[in-house]
Amino acid sequence: MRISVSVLSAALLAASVAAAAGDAYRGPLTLRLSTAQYRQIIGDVFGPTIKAGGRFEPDIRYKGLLQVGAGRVSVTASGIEQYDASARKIAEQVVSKENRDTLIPCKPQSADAPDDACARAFFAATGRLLYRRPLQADELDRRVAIAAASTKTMKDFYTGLATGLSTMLVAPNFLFRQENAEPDPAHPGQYRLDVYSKAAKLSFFLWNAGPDAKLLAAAESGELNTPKGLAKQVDRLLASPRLEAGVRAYFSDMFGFNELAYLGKDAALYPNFTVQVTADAQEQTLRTLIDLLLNQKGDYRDLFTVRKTFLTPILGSVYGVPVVAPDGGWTPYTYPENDPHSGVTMQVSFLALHSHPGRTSPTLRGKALREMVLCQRVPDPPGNVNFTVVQDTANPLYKTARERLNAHATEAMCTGCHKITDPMGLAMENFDTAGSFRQHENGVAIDARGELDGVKFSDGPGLNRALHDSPRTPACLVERLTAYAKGRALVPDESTVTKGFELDFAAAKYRLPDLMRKIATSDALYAVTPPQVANALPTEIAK
Amino acid sequence: MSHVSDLGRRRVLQGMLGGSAVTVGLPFLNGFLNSHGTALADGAQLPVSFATWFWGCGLNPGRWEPGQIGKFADLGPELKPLEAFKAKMNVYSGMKAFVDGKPFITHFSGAQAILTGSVPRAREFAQPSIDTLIADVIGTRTRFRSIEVACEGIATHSQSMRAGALVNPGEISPVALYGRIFGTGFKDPNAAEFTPDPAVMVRKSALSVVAEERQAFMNKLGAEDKQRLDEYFTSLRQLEQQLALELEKPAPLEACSVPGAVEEARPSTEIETAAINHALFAKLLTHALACGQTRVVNIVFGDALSTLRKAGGTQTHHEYTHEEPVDPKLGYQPEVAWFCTEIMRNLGVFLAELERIKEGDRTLLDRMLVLTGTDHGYAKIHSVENMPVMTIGNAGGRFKTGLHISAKGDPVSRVGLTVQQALGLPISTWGNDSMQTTKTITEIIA
Amino acid sequence: MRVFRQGLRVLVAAGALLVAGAAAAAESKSFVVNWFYMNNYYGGDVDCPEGLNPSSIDFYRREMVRLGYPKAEIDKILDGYPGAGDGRGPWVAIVVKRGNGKDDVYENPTTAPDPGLKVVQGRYAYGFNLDGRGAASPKGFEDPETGEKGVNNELYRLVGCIKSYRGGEGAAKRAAYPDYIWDVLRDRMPAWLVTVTSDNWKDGPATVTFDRALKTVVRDASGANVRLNMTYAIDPDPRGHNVVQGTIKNGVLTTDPANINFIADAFGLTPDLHFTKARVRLKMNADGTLSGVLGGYQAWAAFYWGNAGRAWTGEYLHSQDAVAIYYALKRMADANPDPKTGENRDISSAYAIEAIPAFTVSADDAMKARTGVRASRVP
Repeated sequence: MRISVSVLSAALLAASVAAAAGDAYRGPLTLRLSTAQYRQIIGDVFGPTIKAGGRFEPDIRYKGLLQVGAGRVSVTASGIEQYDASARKIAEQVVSKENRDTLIPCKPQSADAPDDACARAFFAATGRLLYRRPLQADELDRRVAIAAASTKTMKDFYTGLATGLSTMLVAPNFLFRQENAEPDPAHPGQYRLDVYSKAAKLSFFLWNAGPDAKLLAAAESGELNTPKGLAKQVDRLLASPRLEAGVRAYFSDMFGFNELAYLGKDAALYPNFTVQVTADAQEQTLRTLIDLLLNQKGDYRDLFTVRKTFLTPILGSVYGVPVVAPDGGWTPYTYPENDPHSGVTMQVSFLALHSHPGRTSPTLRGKALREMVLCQRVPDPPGNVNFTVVQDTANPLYKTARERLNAHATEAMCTGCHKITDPMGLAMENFDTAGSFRQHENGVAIDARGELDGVKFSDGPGLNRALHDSPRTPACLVERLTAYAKGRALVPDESTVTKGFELDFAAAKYRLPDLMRKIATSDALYAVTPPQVANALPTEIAK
Repeated sequence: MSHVSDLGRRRVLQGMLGGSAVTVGLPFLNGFLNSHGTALADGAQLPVSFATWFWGCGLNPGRWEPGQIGKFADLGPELKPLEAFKAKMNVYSGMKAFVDGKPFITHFSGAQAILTGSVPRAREFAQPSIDTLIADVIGTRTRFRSIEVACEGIATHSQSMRAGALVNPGEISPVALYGRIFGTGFKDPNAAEFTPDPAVMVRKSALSVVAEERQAFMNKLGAEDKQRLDEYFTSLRQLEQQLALELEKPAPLEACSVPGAVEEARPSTEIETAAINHALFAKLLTHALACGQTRVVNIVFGDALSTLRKAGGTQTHHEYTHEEPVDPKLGYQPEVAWFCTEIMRNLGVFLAELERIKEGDRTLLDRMLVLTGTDHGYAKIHSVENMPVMTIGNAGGRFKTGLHISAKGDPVSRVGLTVQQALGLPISTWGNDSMQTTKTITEIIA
Repeated sequence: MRVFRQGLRVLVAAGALLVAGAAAAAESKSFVVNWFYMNNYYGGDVDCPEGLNPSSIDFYRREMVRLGYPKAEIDKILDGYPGAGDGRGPWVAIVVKRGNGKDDVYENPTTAPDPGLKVVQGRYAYGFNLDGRGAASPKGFEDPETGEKGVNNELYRLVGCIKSYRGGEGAAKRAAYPDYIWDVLRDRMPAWLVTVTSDNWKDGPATVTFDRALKTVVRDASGANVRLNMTYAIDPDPRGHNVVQGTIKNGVLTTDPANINFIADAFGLTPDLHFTKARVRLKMNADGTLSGVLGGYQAWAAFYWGNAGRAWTGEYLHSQDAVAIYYALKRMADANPDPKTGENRDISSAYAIEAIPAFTVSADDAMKARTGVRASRVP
């Protein structure tokens, strides 16, 4: 029962922190690495042959982003067991006979006795990458000492080295991105992130990874604190192929793709919906947006009308199109003009995720568009609602989702919210819960008319154009991407900053890399209020 | 080294590191007491153990699934022999093996799906079975990393394997097994001397190094982050405490006793004879677990191509599955159903042995996780849909029980993934091709 | 059900684009064969009034008695039968040489005497009147679906009282052995494709094309069926390409007699199927799938080897007495007499076909896809 108590306390803690912190906090952050970031760093530091697995703590979504939730989570007792097991497993692989010659920069004097100089060299070099800053003298000394003690006990230098390495891999300095503040010399009385925190912020934003050697060098030399030096590094990171991983991470977070792993459909009704479909569907959307936003340097708003995508034969069977691809792999595919499947929110990754196992949900789909694409919050339904009419797809009186929702939303307390969500979601009714196209439901032709903020349309492509043209669409990306980069929810008065980004984004023809550059080079990203100040003035800032 | 030596309580261990291993008593920590203050904290003192129990030809669809999803009250008729254990078991229905266009090897592919998480392209490409993966983590300090038995007298029927070509043969003779476990090499867990494992000492010292840096880390944090990171350090301390317990002389295994000598049984595919062998094996394995000789056991009651038959009968269980007509009134194959029920009764015999061993106010079964395996969902048509899978025991509090998990269309590898994670294996994904899953069955993780 | 219907909608458009040679007014629908199995009618107790044929242990015991083994020894030999299934059981060597004690009986079935086989004596069987003699056809059955008389299906008559070939009702319609064989086979062989070209399935002429794909089928989430709307490239190998003409009447498509070849090229399970004077009856189901019956003559020797090729393993597992089946095939063959001996070489049979909508592309298109040229969808 020990474990369950810990899980429970973690949940309560998360709730209490959320309540206490409010959204006024603008101090330095302590963000837990996501599972993907953890793996990425291990791969970057030790190479692809080192396997990093484990069921790490679940991430928590806050204000639309897991990356923001990362500042609200901790490590529970069962979580630490996993981190510890993973740390030891990684360390064991790093010092293994196969890997030690390439991953350890020196050879010990003796294989079964301590060699402090060699251990120190290894810990200093590796620790700098894991901690995203040089190790302090006492941190390094402790590792050298534990390695020596362990070597003596186990009579093996490499076991000692693995012990020292595992202490870094399980340390909060590695598992959490801890930011530090320092006075900003350019703005007396104000604070900024110290240069290593700045480097980490930059690399996690653009690459979803820790800083590489060049970025750490730019931090160490102080170059990163100069506008020119910062611009140079931002350009370098944006020009790197690793930008793709960063963009994938952002949109996976924004579109809630972590939920896809748990998505299933009623196999009797939707036999084509297999686990490969969910995996391929996520990849389809990511390939589509990488191609448009990075390869084509396209307009972000076109993401909602884009016709060029990538398909596998399995996805082809869901969309009902023939796909011949080498060895079942990916092939580019362009939909005809006005095809209902144009636009990433008309892809399986969106349509199936925001539906029930056996039926669609115009409400869930509309809510997801509001929250993910337009950054508008839709209230949760009240607690005492009778959903029977909506859920019964076999009711002969209400054959389509529209009819069922109309019958359901007659009560005043329901209509308010359904008016926000349903007119968008109903325009997506030509897709069943698995994301396949349909013209009828229960034999009745589907009426896919809808509306978004006063713009009326007759079908899905119309909704796509409305999303494309809505000023909220680019504004939402700016706000959410800024929050993602910062790792926290934006404070109300920061809207002046995002407004500025919005103008620049429009001026740059809504090209994503330009927006990322703007955010990454802005002072606003690195400005902080030191914790003691934040603690002293919580109520003032909350206004 | 000054920062290392100036550690108060930790110095005790540091002194051991590099020196000779001596029995050291550590101060008893308050944290080890449970809320009643009566016993050691849950699950910490007695190690979790694992078993697989395998039979061939599955069960009849619709006749084993509990009547309710989630907390269930009624087991299907073919699981009725397990009625006594229903509060301690989970039943998983609806999960399947994905063949993905690979050759479908009947009576093999499905069994692999449950036990290795993968459907191999051919027998020789089979993945390691789950028990070996688990034994590599929890079985490294016991005399036997794992023990396999095959109740029909054919050693190669063992389902435990490192890889397709490396099957761990099953013991077929109860007398031989008795000799192996309780013969000359038997190590009495309640003997006087105790030597702490130096590897655990090292691990604990390593965690201590991290704990030492607590203050330096916390000093930089704001109030909210301090609260969060406090949770991290509390968790870290709990892990340290677990390791500290491992360094102490373990609580006596009061339940450990050496069973009396057993009689030899005749190897046979007659189900009645296999049942006699199984009962002998079950008793010996239970004592081996209670005495800490191993933490992983694997029982094959009937092989995948269930060659069990009634005494004097001519047709095997397997032949019945394919040849016996479905009784139009009953809606199932009655002879097959007899075999299914009888096989489950034997599973109940093993569980009853585990349950009989009292450890404080609980039983050996409570710190076990028994995973069942079989080859087909509906053997009549070689279906690998809706494979019957069960886990029994809560793995020392790591699993919630009494639940029926219905996960229609999901790969059956989800069960194995969840089992491994609950037992502390650092994996996030298991299985190949469509069998590959990251979907932990979170409903049952305690 | 809804899903199938949608697949069809798109298919109409894609099929028209992709299937070359379709007449302007006609449209083509393509399907992948989901199930193909011997279509054995199940009529309850009346089909086999003499009872079912014995299980393998019983006919092995019978053969050992014939060979003169004392009862006590037979009991000993069969103790623990069949054992581990690994060929080490003491009975294996005996039954393999049960003819003359030295030769493999599966290769030389005539070394053993004919033990006889209980056969179907019922009135009904699926299939067609293949010999063209209508109700006057000797030993003709009546098709339970169409009511056609003089249906020739001697293979069903022959195997219909063997347990593993015995069909059933409803969900158990597919007999255990044909069901098993197909389920194993379809994962190992290139998919079989059916394309029907007609005027939107209205009554009138239609063309049915059977092809073989370059790859195996892909299954759906149920695992029991093939995935809907997958794309298959057609193998250009002419051996597997068959075009037959037919007529749709009252929604049922029936083809004219023709030779139809199904090429599995799958090792070890069954030979390829070569049907002569074959006819096919297909209907489109409400969910867009296709189901029907294929009837035709096939060489009985090929059928024999399909089973006996697996020697004792297939025989004991599925209680198929190879010797009894051999003599029965020879005796019951009903077409294509050998000009020298006068003995019939072919036997009439019927198989069930169940197919699911799919896309087909030519092998050329598939190759172009590799080089970046893609097929596109008609809006």
